[in-house]
Amino acid sequence: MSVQNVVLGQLIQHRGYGYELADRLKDWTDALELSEAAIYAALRKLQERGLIEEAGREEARTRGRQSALRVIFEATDDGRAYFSSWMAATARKAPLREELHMQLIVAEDDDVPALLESLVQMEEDCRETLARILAMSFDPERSAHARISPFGVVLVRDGLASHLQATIEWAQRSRKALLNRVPAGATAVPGRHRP
Amino acid sequence: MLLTLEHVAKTNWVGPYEKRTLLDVSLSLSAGDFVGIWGGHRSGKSTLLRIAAGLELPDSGVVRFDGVDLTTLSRAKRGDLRLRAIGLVRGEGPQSAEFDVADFVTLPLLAHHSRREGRTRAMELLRQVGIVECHDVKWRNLSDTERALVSLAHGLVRRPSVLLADDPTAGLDALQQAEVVSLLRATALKTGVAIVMTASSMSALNGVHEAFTLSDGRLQQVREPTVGGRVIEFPSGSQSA
Repeated sequence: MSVQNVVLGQLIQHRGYGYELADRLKDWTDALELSEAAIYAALRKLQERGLIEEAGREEARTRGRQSALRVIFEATDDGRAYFSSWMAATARKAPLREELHMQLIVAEDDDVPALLESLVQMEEDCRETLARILAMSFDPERSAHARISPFGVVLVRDGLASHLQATIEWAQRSRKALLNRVPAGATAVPGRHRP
Repeated sequence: MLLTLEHVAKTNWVGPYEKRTLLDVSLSLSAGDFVGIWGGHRSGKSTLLRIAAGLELPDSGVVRFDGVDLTTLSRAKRGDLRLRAIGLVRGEGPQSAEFDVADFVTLPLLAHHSRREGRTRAMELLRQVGIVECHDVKWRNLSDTERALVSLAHGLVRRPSVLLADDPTAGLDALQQAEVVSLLRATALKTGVAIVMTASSMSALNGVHEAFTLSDGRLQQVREPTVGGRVIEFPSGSQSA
């Protein structure tokens, strides 16, 4: 739903067509692991809901090839009204449903080695996602029509990085907890003492 | 390479227990680099910076500054090197509560410069970091962002070739963090100083040239996975006969 709203927000700012919208939003879609197809799907849904409409078609300038027609979209009055109400509404937290949480709930002692590996993998996945977030350039020259607020960029990036940080810290703590766990019946290994 | 850490390991004592703080840390830094290291609580960030600054020696591994192995230098020689070429920013503020911002930033220069010269340079640097209006304010009356910027000015005033900044964005919000990080980035670019910044908040890594995480005593670079087969070898041109 939110992808549709972001696309709608872009079209309220300035009319546009699929490829151009995908380009305007490239930094975001890269970071949020959304494909270009998600933008086209959002356009289709928005049109079905009557929130955007076709404003014309223009020939794409493709050199030496059969030129295709671009469909230009713009927001309808309903679209503008809907967008304003969405912007004013209180955003709700997305549910936390990590696969690993589910595995931990039903894990037995024998599953611990596999869980430790999953926790290491989760840290690695977080590092890769962080790399994508850090690589977002938010080039203001990318599009004159992009609707992206300067504080929004910093705060969303902070939000994404903070989420990853919390996940990595949790994975590290959980790994230590599982490693330090004393199995029932065993005695704790004493630590070495300062010489 | 300006500064290199090769397979550095360090063990600390935490109460009665031995803690292997750094297991195998390697890092190399050239002029103008800006490296960010994120690590959780007690992950070894400060230990790493203290070793890079020559304040502590590693148990094993090598730390080279401009090709010179710091572990072979005497304590006094390492002190000289630090005074000459390494800026360490710890955000602790002046030792005396009576120092104002300009006094604090002038302090590192007094060993080799007159008070007047030092003060001129300090004011110049305060202007560069954008807080010259705070020059006569006491540390206790500064905001968190101002303290971060004053600490950076204190670390940069001797024009070091390496600046080691220990969590300069601690306690700052995202917009303030972005301000401090972009100042560091611009400083590295403009003056060629190589910067290592540690951070307890991952979002402070936005804007660094190279990002790392420090956990379990190991430094891991934050980078997107490389897709196999995408690197194509460029033909070498001539074949040997």
